[in-house]
Parts: sequence; C-alpha cells; structure tokens
Amino acid sequence: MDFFSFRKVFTFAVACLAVLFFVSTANAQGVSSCLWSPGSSSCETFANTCESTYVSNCASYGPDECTGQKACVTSPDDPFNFGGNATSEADTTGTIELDFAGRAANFYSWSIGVGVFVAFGVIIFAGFLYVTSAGNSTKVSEAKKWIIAGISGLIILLSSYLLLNTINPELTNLESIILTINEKVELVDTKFTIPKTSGGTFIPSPPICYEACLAEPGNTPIECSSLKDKPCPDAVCPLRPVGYFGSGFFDRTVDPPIAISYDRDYRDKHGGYDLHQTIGVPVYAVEDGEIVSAGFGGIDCGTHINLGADSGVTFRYCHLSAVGVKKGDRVVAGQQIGNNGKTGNAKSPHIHFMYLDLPMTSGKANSSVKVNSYVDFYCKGEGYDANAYLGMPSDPGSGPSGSTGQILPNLAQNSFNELTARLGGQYGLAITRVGGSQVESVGSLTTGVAWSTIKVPMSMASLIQDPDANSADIRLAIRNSDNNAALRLWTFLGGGQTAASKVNQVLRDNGDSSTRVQSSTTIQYSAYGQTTWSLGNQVRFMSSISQSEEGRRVLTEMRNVASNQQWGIYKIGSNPAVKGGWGPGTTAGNIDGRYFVRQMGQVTIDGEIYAVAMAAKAPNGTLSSGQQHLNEMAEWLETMIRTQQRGIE
Amino acid sequence: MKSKKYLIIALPALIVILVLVLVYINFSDKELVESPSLPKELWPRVITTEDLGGGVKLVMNKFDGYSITVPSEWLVNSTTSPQDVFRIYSEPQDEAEHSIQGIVLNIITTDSLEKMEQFTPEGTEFNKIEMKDYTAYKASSYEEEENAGAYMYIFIGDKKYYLVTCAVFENPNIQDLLNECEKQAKTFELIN
Repeated sequence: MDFFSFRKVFTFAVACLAVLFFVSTANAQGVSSCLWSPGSSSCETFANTCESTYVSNCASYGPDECTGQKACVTSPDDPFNFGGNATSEADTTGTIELDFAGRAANFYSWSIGVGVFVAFGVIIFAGFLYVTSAGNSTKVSEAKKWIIAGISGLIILLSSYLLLNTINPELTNLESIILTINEKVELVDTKFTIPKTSGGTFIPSPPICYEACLAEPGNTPIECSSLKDKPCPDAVCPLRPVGYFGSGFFDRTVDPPIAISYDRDYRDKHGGYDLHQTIGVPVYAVEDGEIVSAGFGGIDCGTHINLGADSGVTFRYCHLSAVGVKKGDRVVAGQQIGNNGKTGNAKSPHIHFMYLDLPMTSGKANSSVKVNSYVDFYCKGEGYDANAYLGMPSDPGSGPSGSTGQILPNLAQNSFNELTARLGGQYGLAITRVGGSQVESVGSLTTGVAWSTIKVPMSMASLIQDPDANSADIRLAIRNSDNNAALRLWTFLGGGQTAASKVNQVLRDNGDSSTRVQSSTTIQYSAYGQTTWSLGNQVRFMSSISQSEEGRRVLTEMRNVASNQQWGIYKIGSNPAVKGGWGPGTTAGNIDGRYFVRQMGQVTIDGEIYAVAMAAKAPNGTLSSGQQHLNEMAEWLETMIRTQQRGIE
Repeated sequence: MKSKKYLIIALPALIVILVLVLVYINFSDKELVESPSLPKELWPRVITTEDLGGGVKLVMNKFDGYSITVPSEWLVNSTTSPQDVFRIYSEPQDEAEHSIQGIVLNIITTDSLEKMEQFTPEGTEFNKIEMKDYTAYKASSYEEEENAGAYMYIFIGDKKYYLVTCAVFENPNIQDLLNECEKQAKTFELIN
C-alpha cells in the first residue's frame, strides 16, 4: 500500500471517527435543555417545542382545558401536580428542545448513514475500475487499493460505532438534547400529597375456579368453560400452597423458622397467622364478600386488603406486594385479589392473615384463636383437602409453580419422609435459586456444626484481605479439604476473634445475616469448624457468592474438587460446585462419635442454577454411610426439581 | 513488503477488537444478578458496600442509581429485587420474623410518584426539605395502636423516584431512633 492510498483510508476513517466523537461527546456532556416559557400562549405552541411525553399529555386534554399554560402544567407526568394542587403561574418546570440539539441529533444519524454509503460507494467504484481495467496491471492495482481502502474505512467506522455503543449506548443514541432546569429557580410546591391509586403492580394469575373466572372483568361463561367442572368452594385458604406457617415471631436461624416466645392461641401482640410463600404469588379471597379497603394499611401492616365477607367476618391481609381490587369490589372465594409480599414490618415474604373482630379493640388474642381455627381448617385440614383439587396452575411460566415460584413439588415433603424412613437416620435439605431469596427445605435435620464447609467463607475472607496471597492454600482447603491449609488461612486472617470477624463479614455480605463463626472451643477440633451453620443460611450464602470476585474464585475451586470429594450434589445436574464437611458430632463442642456429614454447593438442573445444602446422620454413624445417603438425597432432589419444572405431581 | 501492508490493516483492527473485549468485560452487567428465568427488568440488583472508616459504610445500588451511608454494623443484604423493598436493619435479623426493636430503613425505587402510594399513608403531606446538593421531601407518620413510627423521604432522580423510609416498631425510644435514622437517610445520594 503506497502512501497515497493509505492516506485515503486514514483520512476517510478519521473523518468518520471525528464525526462520531464530536456528536457523542456533545451528548455525553448533556448539553442541555429546555424550559418552556410561561409566556407560551397555547398547548399547540407548547407541543411544538417540548418533548414528546408532554406533547401526548397535551393532546389528551380537551380544547377548553388546552388553552394557556396551565393545562400543560397539570399534566400527569408532572410529578408535583396532581390536579388539585397545581401551582399555576409559579410553575416553570418543563423542557424545551434546542434547535441546535435537534440538528446535531439529525446530523449524527445522517453522518453514520453517509459514512456507510460512501464506503460502499468506494467499493463499487473500485469494482468498476477493476472490471474496466481490461487486464491493465496498473488499473487492477489501483482498483485493489480502492477496495482495500473502502473495506478498511467501513471496518473502522463500524468498529468505532460498536466501541462507543459498548462503552455507553447513550453515546450513539441521540434522541433529543435537553437543557436541565436551573436549580436556583423555585420550580415546585413546597408540599404535596401522593394521589390514591390501587397500590402496587398487580400480577394476575390464571383463575383457579369457575366463579372466580367469571368474576374477572370481561370474562363470559365461554371464556371460563374449561373451569366449569371446578366450582369455587365456599371458603379457601388465602395462599395455595402455603410454604410454611407461623405465629408471627420467629427464630430464623432454623429452616423452616419456628415460632418463639408466644403461646400459639394467645398471641396478643400478633393477632394473626403468617402464611409464607415466595414474593408475588397469588393471594385469594377466602370467602365471598366485598372489599372494605385496599392499599396502604399502616407502617406495620404495609399494603393490605380488608375483605368484608358475606358471613359477617372481616378478614385482613397484610404485607402484600400489590392489590388487584379496590374498595367496594365484589369478590368470590378463590378469586385472586393480590400478590404476596413483605411490605410493612415483615422480614420475609408472607401474608399476615387476620380474622378481624369488630371493633378491633375487642382483642387480638381473641382474633388469634379464631384465625387459628380458620387456617387449621382451610389451609391444613379438612377444608383444604375438600378444595385441594383446585391445585396450582399447570403452566410453569404462569404461576407459582414457575421459575419464580416453588422449586420442589407439593409431594416433596411426603416423598422425602419416605426416603429418610428407608435410610433410617436423620436428614435435611434446603434449596433456593441462585440469586433468589426464598428457601425451601425438607427433613428434620435443619442445622449443625459447619465442619469443613466453613472453609468456603474463610477462603473468601483471605482473598478479600489479599487477592494475590494464599492461592495454593485455598486450592488445598477447598479441593482437598486440607485442614492444615485451612489453619494457615485462619492464621493469615489474624486468628481468634479477628479472623472470626472477617469471616462473619463475608457471611453478612453474602446473604447470611445470623451465623456467627466460632473463635474458641474446648475440644480438640478447630474452633471455626464448630460454627453452627443452618442449612437455610448455607443456601442463602451459596446463592449469593457468585456476585463477588472472591466468591467466583472459590466457586471455581469447588467445581474442581478432588475425586474423594465428588459425592452428593457433585453427582447430579451439570457444572456442580461443592464443599463437603464431616465430623463426629452434630452440635458445637459435642463429640458423640457419630458422623454428621454435610455438603453445600451450586448445581445447574435444566438450565436453572440452584444453591443446595444437605446434611445426613446415618444410623450407623459412619462417614461412608453419610456420604452414600447424601448421594441418594441428591438423586431424589434432581427428580423432584424436574417433577416440579414439568408440572407433574 | 506484502506482509507489512497486511500488518498496517490488521494491527488497528486487532487493537479495536481487543479494546472491545476489554470494555465488554469491564462494562458487562455487574450491577445485576443474572437470572435467566426472569425478564431482565426483574433481575435482582447487586448491592455493594464499601467501608468508609469511622464506623460507617457506603451502600450502593448502582443499577437503580443511589447510595446511602449507614453504620458499619447495620445489616445490608447483598442483592435486592425490583419486586421487593430494599431493607437495611440496625438490629440482628435472626431474632424474629418482624422487627421488634431496631431501625428498619427501606428504599423503594419506582418509575412514578403514584406508585409510592402503597407505601405511604393516604393523604400524607410531604414537605420540602433542603439537602446538601438537591431538594427532597419529607413526611412522618405514627401509629399509636402498633406503637410504630416512620419518617419518609422522597428523592427524585432521572425518571426514577426513591422513597426512603425510616421505620421503628414497638420501641420506647421511637423518636430517638427515628432521629438517628434520619441522619442516615439524609446521606442518600443519587449516583450515575
């Protein structure tokens, strides 16, 4: 390539880049904007000079409203004006598009098109030269140079666009350039109120019974014909199925959490029944009736619904994420009225379901007794069995059985009980989706000492302290479960309480809010290994660690464990990452000689990544039996997940 | 000589590709937790914390565009879902299902002010307060029956609205705790 043709390529490319960078930089600096003038005399004038959202709002006003500035000021998109609280003449908020900005945006789009066009033009020209060269070697050579020049320019142009788009799509997406408002100008009221709306983003699910289907707006018997053989019962459980039941105050260090400090029937401070499920699942009207109130229900209750049932009882639902009804609506038992959530004073998603006495001051304890009976009957007992055929939606993507819903099928608990009865020992399993928050668990063994599983957060703490140190020890500690390597890591972290604090912080940063790492012990085993770590907290931790660099590094080691560590979760699904732990005792400082064998990890099953923790205490108390039983539990788990994913029960 | 010609073309192209790869790695979605089963707008947001010294830490939700400073010992989850309320607790979270003593600091991000209605008492009047760099709005609420109190703050970002709520339940020193929480709420900043 001689100097002349190289210059052509270079000049062309630089010109294109210059155009791109010029306009992109102008945009990145946010060259600004636009203020519509209070002097604007009409919406038409306003519409011609303001951005599209305001234009459309103006268009929605009638001719009488659309005279002068005020109609535009009270547009719904103006955050501080909700109709009744307009500040009229004082309002000078808004935007105006600069002519320069519009031209720049147009020029930008235009120049990209022209650049590509010119590049293709060069190539076509070169092709023409080549065809008409008639074997003249000089012309052929010239044509080739032009082809190379055109292609090179095109590549550089497109690469520069790709580069800018990768750095920030806004750099290549000049919609309109808006001047920001002057902050010194008094733009809005000094006070305002938020208007009443329905509350939350309601996520509807398919109706579960005939009358509930008919109750939905627009539905006719034809739309609901598939449910004709599923009439709604007189009363239903407000959640289907309930993940676990609670009395209101829990110890969350065990899974499922257990009620603390309250007598079941006289919880005068709580007054309701907590029914736990994942966030967003449907909440149903328990009986036919009318909505008394819906929306914000107090700092404590959060988003609520009060349902005045035809039976004379008022039911109250608290902590919803959204409501799908409004005051005065008629509803039937089994009709979806909201979504489960954790608004108000709730630490995990559930509904606080109350049997509201009128007046409420008649006593929460009394209310508790009644709601207990109700839940016992309709969510656990004969009433639940009687309408259990309603089941859950079978479409995995449309309801709680979908990928945001349950992981294990309803039959899991009974099935697991059968498995453990056959194995003969004590077992437990917890699972959640990676990145998820709702933990599902089965089995009676819910917690125990960490043994070598604690090496995972310990390794992460070491990497936080120095990402370049201890690689060999981390590898040994995770892949081979080497205790000497773990001790060196512990020492590196400062040992004792200092090291424990650092490992605690890793746990806190990764979804485990309660486990406390042991810094001393009276037995011959390491103190950190005697940390009590519940299966629930282990899966919360495992579901979170992929988010940090140190977590990902440790996960890599967990995916490459030595052959003698490849049991349990490692034998199922794809891309397993595991860390096992075992020792002759289940509770801290208590060595009873029977091996407590556990394992935690991540595994992919049918494209979904799960965090899993399992524990076993075999009847003969040996390590090999414990490992063998974890193998069987892992196989059972894979079957259950696939059963649920395919909607088979 | 021919190889030099190719070198002149290939070298810049190679550099561009390398830069693209590096930029892609650097700018890929570290602000979101990849959840293939969910639409991207529902992917959980990554919460990062940074120890600032002096007993405080900076909590950041880069995707939703905010940060707040809280005492180091307050509990912060590492992710939050857009379907959910992001919570920071001043008390151990393992004691009970409901907060019964400490401060609960909620941050809710919405795309409209109207959507905040479900988190605020009906008719609550928000009053303008002066912040360091920009304007915010504050309201308060107290429920005698539940012995619960809350301060609420609204911050306005670029097409996003943030409701920061300090709530205290069943504590004899509600006012003191709310004042303590207010100090943290006022460290709320819009980022990006």
